[in-house]
Amino acid sequence: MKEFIRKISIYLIIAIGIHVLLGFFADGSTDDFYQRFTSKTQSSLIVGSSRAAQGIQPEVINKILSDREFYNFSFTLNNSSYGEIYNNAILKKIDKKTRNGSFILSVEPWGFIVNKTSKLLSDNIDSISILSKMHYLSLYPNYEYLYRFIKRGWGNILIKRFENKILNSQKANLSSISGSWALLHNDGWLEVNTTIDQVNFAKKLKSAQNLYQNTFDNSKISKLRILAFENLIEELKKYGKVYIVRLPAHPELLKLDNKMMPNFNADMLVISKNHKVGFLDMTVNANKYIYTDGIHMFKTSGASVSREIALRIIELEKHN
Amino acid sequence: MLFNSIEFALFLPITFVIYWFVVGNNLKIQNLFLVAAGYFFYAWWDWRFLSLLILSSLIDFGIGLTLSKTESKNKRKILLWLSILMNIGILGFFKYFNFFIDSFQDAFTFFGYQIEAHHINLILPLGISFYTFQTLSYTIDVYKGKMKATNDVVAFLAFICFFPQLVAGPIERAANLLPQFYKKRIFEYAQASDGVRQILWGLFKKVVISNNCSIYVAEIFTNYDSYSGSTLFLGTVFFAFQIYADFSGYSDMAIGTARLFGFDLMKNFNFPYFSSNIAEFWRRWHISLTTWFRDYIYYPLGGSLFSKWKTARNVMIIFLVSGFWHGANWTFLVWGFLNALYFLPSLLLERKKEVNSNKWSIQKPFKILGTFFIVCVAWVFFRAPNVSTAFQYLNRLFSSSFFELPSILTPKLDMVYLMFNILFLIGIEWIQQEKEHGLDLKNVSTIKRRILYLLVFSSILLFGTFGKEEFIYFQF
Repeated sequence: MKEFIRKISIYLIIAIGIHVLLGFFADGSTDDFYQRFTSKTQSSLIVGSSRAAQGIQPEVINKILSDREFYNFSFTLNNSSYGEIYNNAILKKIDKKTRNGSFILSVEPWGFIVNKTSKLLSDNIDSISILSKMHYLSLYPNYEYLYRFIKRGWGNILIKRFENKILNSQKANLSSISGSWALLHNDGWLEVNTTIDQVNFAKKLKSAQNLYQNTFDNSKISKLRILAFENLIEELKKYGKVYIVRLPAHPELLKLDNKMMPNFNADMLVISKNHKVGFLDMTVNANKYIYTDGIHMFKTSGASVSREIALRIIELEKHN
Repeated sequence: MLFNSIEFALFLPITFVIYWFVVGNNLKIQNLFLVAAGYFFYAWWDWRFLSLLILSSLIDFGIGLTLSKTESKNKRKILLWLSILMNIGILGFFKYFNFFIDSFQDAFTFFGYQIEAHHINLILPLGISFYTFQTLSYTIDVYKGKMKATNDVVAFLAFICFFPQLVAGPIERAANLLPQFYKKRIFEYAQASDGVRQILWGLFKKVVISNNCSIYVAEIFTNYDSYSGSTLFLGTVFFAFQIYADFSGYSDMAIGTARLFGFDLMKNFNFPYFSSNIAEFWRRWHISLTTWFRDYIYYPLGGSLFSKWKTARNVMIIFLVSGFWHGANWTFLVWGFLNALYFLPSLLLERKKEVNSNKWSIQKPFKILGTFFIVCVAWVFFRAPNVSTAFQYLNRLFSSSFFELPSILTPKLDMVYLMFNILFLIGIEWIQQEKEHGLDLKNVSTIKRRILYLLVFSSILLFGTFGKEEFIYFQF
């Protein structure tokens, strides 16, 4: 018996040790979110859904607004629609000593909806969000996240790193690669590399339209989410300046955006005036940009929009 | 509680330590502890259904005792039927009530009568098909005088709720497992370490093969109308490996876990995909259920003792019952029917039974591939949501697009890893055919053993998919 327990214990210790070690190798290639739970608390944040996660590049903005350092803490609509859960996570991610921070709040109609059948209380709206299950948002390595959300064996962390290295070396020639891959940067920006030929894009756009139409059919505007958004603005104002930004999407999808909330810009303008914060509508030149699937901007367009956002923030700050 | 969950990873060592170190000196208390552990394990899923498990166990314990004291043939028959009706009644109510209601409604509609059917929102109690058959086999064996009724209620309850095999088998016979609860268990290093190896092999099958195959199977079976015949064939092959790795992986973990506690459970799978014919396949697949049907249905019906046609009828009956046992859906009945059809030619032509043989011949690989192919075709019915979808799937599979190159499903590299791991599984099991399980490494040098451990462990670590994927057979 002793020999059995001794051997089993050795194997278990080795297995646990390997897992502890593998945790240190997890990085932006591990998945689309992990690294955002390992970065330190921040003074300036970009928040919102996947449009912001892929579309706003902190590196580009930080170069122009050199007095601050933005961090992209956006996820996806399922995980980071405005509500109590996301608000709490955002506030947890802020360095509490911050006084002159800046906060870009990306908005879209789909971030203010709930399922038509939803009768849940405010704190249950986002029970499926990964943020509702996380206690530690700034821990490296974040074993809580790895344990809860990495469904593959942790050895896969090494494989992902290896694959990403190979794929990144071929970034310059995207047309030779079918499919897509993502890399989460240290500043929270999710870089998505994909071929964007006309045929593939048409398919993805069609599928995005179907998805949004289906969501439209099954959703309603949530007053709770709008209220949570307004509360968030007030909370963030304690730490610095707040800017509401509406990012562009493919014109066909903007039509669906406007179908969901026909007076969206006007509504956001009212909120921005009520709370005395800036509102930047970047959809005016929506047809200028390239999109990966109609919803998300391709990285080159994301860089252009990020630059434009930074310049307009400077402009806004000049006038105030 | 899933075997591949963190809850079980905590439950198992705690139970192991208490079992051997705290209550190890007293057999009665040790058995009582196994009952408590079994009920805790079951209640982790849903404590409300624990009462059914206890009720079913107590009915058969009571009937068994009464049978042992009753000599009147008629009374004994009544007691047996009482047990059968109670057990099958509970199983039938939870598993088949809505199916029969739907079928009656469909039948009336077919003849032009519209009737309003009332469904009951029922949850299928976990493992009910398994423990019901286990308790029934006890009563039938006592009735037939094959074994004596036990008067040790704790041992009997422990036999029914023995946690390693409680929810998905192997369906143990009382004659094999119950006596093991009467004897003091002694810890044996060789038995326990082999148990751990079998658990490791089962875990590999579940998380590396089954869970990864399930990703592609779900995609291909859901969107079958947009894939070529060759891709659909790939989908059925993946499902064949998914279900095998899932269920035999569970059985390996169950048998391995039981060995840690000093128990020997029956073998449930004997490398079935290496079978040269369908009869051999069924001697190697889900052995505990197949032999249950053989002993308690096929033989009482006359087995193969009478005419060919009666034998064919009996085969058809057990396959249909087997299909129905799997679930309240016509797909399972068609699956059973198809397997019976595969079986009949050799039966009617009175071909000599081919024994499991490793003797190599030029035809053998073709026979193995042929058997695997027809088994795969039947699996389509097992996996499809309904019979018409299964036919549409097969119709597309056997179209001219069968000869196209299969679509490469993304992510591409994951599929390459999966293929590599399936080949690894086949290789190891081919080499280990004569052994108890894939990692039965008695008489293998230490260095070879360690290399194999390293390979299996690395595969689990690198390619395993964990999460909440239940074992397929939990639904039965």
